[in-house]
Amino acid sequence: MGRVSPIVWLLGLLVCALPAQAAVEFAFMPAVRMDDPQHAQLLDIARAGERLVAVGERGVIVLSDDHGQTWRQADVPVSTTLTAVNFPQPDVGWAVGHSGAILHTADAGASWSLQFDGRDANRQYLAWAQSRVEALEEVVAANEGPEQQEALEYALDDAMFAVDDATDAIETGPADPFLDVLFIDANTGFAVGAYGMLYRTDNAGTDWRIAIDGVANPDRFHYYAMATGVDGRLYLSGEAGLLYYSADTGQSWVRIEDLYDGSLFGSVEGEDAVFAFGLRGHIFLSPDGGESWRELENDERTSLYGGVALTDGRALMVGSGGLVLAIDAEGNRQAWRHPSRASLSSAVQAANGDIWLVGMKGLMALSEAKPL
Amino acid sequence: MTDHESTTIEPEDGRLRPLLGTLLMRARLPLILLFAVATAFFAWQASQLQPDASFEKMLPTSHPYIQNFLKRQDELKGLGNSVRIIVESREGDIFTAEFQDLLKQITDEVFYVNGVDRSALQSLWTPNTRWMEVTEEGFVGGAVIPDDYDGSERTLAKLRENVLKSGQIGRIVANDFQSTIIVAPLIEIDPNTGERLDYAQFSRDLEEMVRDKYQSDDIRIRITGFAKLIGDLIEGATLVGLFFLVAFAITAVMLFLYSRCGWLTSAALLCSTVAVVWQMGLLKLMGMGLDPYSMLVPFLVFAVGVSHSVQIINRFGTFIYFKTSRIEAARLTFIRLSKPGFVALLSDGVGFFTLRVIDIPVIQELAVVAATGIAVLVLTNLLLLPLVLTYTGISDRCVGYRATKENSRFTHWRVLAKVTRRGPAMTVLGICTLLFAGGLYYGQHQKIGDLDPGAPELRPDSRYNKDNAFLTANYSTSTDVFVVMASTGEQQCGSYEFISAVNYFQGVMETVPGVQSAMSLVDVSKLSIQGMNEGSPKWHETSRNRYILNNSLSSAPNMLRNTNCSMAPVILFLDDHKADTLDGVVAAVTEFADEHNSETLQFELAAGNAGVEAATNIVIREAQTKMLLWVYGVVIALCLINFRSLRITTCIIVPLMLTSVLGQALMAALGIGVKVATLPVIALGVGIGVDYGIYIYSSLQSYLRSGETLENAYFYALKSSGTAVAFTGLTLAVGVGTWMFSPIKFQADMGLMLTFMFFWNMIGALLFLPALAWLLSPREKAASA
Repeated sequence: MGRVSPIVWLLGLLVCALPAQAAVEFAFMPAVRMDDPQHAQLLDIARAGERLVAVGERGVIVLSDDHGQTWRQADVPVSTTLTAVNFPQPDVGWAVGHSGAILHTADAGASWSLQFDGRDANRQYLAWAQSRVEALEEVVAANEGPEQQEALEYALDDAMFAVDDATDAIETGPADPFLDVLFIDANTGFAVGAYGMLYRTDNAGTDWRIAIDGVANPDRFHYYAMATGVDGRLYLSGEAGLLYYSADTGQSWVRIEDLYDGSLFGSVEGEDAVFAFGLRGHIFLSPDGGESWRELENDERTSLYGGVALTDGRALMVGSGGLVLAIDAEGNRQAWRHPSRASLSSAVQAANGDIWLVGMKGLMALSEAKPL
Repeated sequence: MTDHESTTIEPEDGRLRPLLGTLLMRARLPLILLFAVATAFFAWQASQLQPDASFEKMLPTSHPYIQNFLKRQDELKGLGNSVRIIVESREGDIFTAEFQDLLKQITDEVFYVNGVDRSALQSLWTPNTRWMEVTEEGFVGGAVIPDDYDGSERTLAKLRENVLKSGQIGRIVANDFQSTIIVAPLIEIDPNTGERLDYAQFSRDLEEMVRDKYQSDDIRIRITGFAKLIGDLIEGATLVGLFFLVAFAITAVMLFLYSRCGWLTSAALLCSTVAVVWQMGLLKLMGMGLDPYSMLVPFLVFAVGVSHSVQIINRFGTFIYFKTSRIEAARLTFIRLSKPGFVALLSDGVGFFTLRVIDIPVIQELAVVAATGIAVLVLTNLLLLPLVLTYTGISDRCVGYRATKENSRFTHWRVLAKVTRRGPAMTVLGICTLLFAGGLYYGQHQKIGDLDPGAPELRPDSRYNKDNAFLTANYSTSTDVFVVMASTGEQQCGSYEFISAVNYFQGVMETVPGVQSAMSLVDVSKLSIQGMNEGSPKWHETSRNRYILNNSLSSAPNMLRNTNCSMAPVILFLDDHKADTLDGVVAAVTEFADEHNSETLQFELAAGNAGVEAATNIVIREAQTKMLLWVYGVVIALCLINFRSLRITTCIIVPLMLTSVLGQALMAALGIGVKVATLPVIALGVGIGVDYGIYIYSSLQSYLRSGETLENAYFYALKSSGTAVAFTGLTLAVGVGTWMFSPIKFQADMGLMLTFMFFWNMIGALLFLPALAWLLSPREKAASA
């Protein structure tokens, strides 16, 4: 080893000193280990093969290899709240959450690494907004028709506003949450969230690319959920009655207009029917892959936040006040209420048929719920 | 020297005491008048004493945690000085017309109780209890009592539905719907009069206007809250007067049985009572109130006074028996007893005074008050009692009784004196060694702090603690609250840096054993952001976006941050307040603070009842050793000065140590923790316990000097002072023993421990001391070898 110049020493010291002075990013500290992690607030639950994996508050991810009887906590590099989890293959999965975090696992959820976060999202959104401004400026410059001119200028204003927004967001830092993640195969997936965030990867998350151009959502309402259906159809739902389907693996989206003006928190496909559900117990049924919809009667006026397809062909939906509904394609309903009355966010059916609910008070069994 | 007193002045009486004695007897009338006037003055002062239950005095005020707490006290005021009135339906749930009607009446009644903050009063029937729900149009909501409520099935069903939507289950409605709470926040200072709220009066008002009036076979009323606790404490403390009367009566009977003389008994009781009056008058003059701790002192002063009186009347009787005049007998009594009496009182007083080393005001006050009381005894019992005796004298019947006693064979003392023989001595020493070993072993399990659930000041089965247990069992709440103060720069408590740090901190704290949950501004932010996003659980998180964050905190209650937004309390709800739990919390907070504290972020310990208790435990743990070293140091020093012999000092101190060790084992066995109330007990026990040893060994020494064998010397010593020692032990034990029946837990604990220590010290002095004397006596050993 040769002599090290004093300047290199100094530089080294500076480099070492700098991160220590910067404010600690608590959201990106490793998740704290808990004694009973399954009782933390959990927001989504999914199956990784036979294993159950649930995610929730402060970066908690819990695993069960005995169909939900015992749980252990996974190693997670972030402590921001995680909102959704999805496994396209038994070993390979993704979890998303606040601070724009996207986590990846290749060992069925035992360990996770951060693939993407809100800082990347902010940069991509700024680049997207800037390129849109440039493109519009070119069009405006080339265009001579006065009628179109006005509309173009509006669009340009919007785009410039988006640039301001994106610049602010970069200053703010990784803020906006992803609210759902969905992979249609081991390589292709989507992460959706607040203010119309939509990112896509085609290489198993090596690159996540902003993909908002294919969806008409000028008011940047939140996207709450994305779901798959038969023949590869995709459903996207969100705030203010947003509901779309895509027949081309998410390249282009068809908006279902005027269905409802409240939030649609999710959609789930049962046998011969797809259901979209949301605020105050509103449930819509489509028998034809999302082309046509009708509203179902539901006298439980409490919001439904998550759903899952059951092996018996029915769709299970869960929501506030511990409410659980199972509905078939004819609209026949079975209802339960969990005695904790905790708001529920998601559910899963384990490989042995047991149904588990997750929500504000952690993991609960459907068997504890009282039929209504 | 023979086994009875000389009735003439001896050279060993010195010159000062005979002179003083003569002067005293000459001036006896003016002196007694002077005492009478002083007593009247102190009685007038004492009559103005107020019961006082200041909790600040129980805090180790110089501990950094407590200093943090005191610094922030005003800012933390919003945290919970409220009273909860739980109205329970014994049959059926709360959704009946009758129950709701009654609940409405009780709510109205509480509204008018003086001290209640009417604008913040909350029950199902106050307009601030609202339900809310998110609809397509935004938030809708209203009072939980439907506008058209008329007690019909339909409106009751509506009420139930509203309650479910209100999020009040577990807060003001029990998880099982069998009871509901009226929350009455209190106004500490009356805005009209500027006076502090009288907790005792407030507590009585609640009892009369609510509990007595509405409790029935169908309805049960339970009341919890700090103000109620204090009220119950003050009420319980007033029973102490009754205990004093009981102790007084028992002592009087015992004194009479001992002396068989009404005059002597009255004189002894009179002087000891005068001492108590003086001591209480001085308490008032020193600006102190009668708090549940210093209430112990009059009992001690009275008991110590009586035990010294016993020595004096005993000696006086002896002189009268030997046909001296009353005045001469009193003079001789003064001359003979003023020195040992003074030394004994000095050792008591100094023993008490060592409690000053403990940094807890209430214990320091106890030290001063007790030392003052002992000083007063020097005047009332060593001076006044002989003067009083010159007037009362002693009846012929008493002299007759004394004569029979004097001529009896003292078989019991004969038997006891055998303890100085080899066999019995070895047996006693063997048993004591076993007791030492056992005591040390069990003493290891001694715990610091309070061990029972609920309010530790009261008994676990007290009404208050039962009410409290009902609250914790049926509502989602804990009464063991540990508050960590998270602070930052001014106006920074709403910054993301601060909020995210507090959020992470809460996550860490919730993993600490014994922590049920954590609550702070962060939870308000999370809930509010979830609400702004249509209640979706996925939005239950704070935000880095400053507009969203500010907005989410705009409705945060004042108690969750201070006025200049530089501090936010993090409230940790604990399973219990056992020392292990508190230690774990303190360690976790300290570790987190060490790692993350910076210029802009500090986590400070500690407030809340559990936080204060954690600091108190820390101080007490350190103080226990310090106090034992001091009190034993002082007592050993006094013995060394008095006897100038290491051997004698050992004989006197070792039995005391056995008592201390057994006392610790007893505490461990009975589940009494070392706490503010029980810490001073050991010092008091040792301070008073040393008297027995001093009395007995003094006599023993003088008989040994005159050439008696150890057994004979000990028999004579027992004959002259054994009865007095046994009597003293019993009087003291009775004096504090009545405390065991106090409704106040710590008084009962103190009473139990002191009774044990006084009694066992006596046993130690009568049995263990002579056995040790045998062991350490070179002459005796040589003889038996």
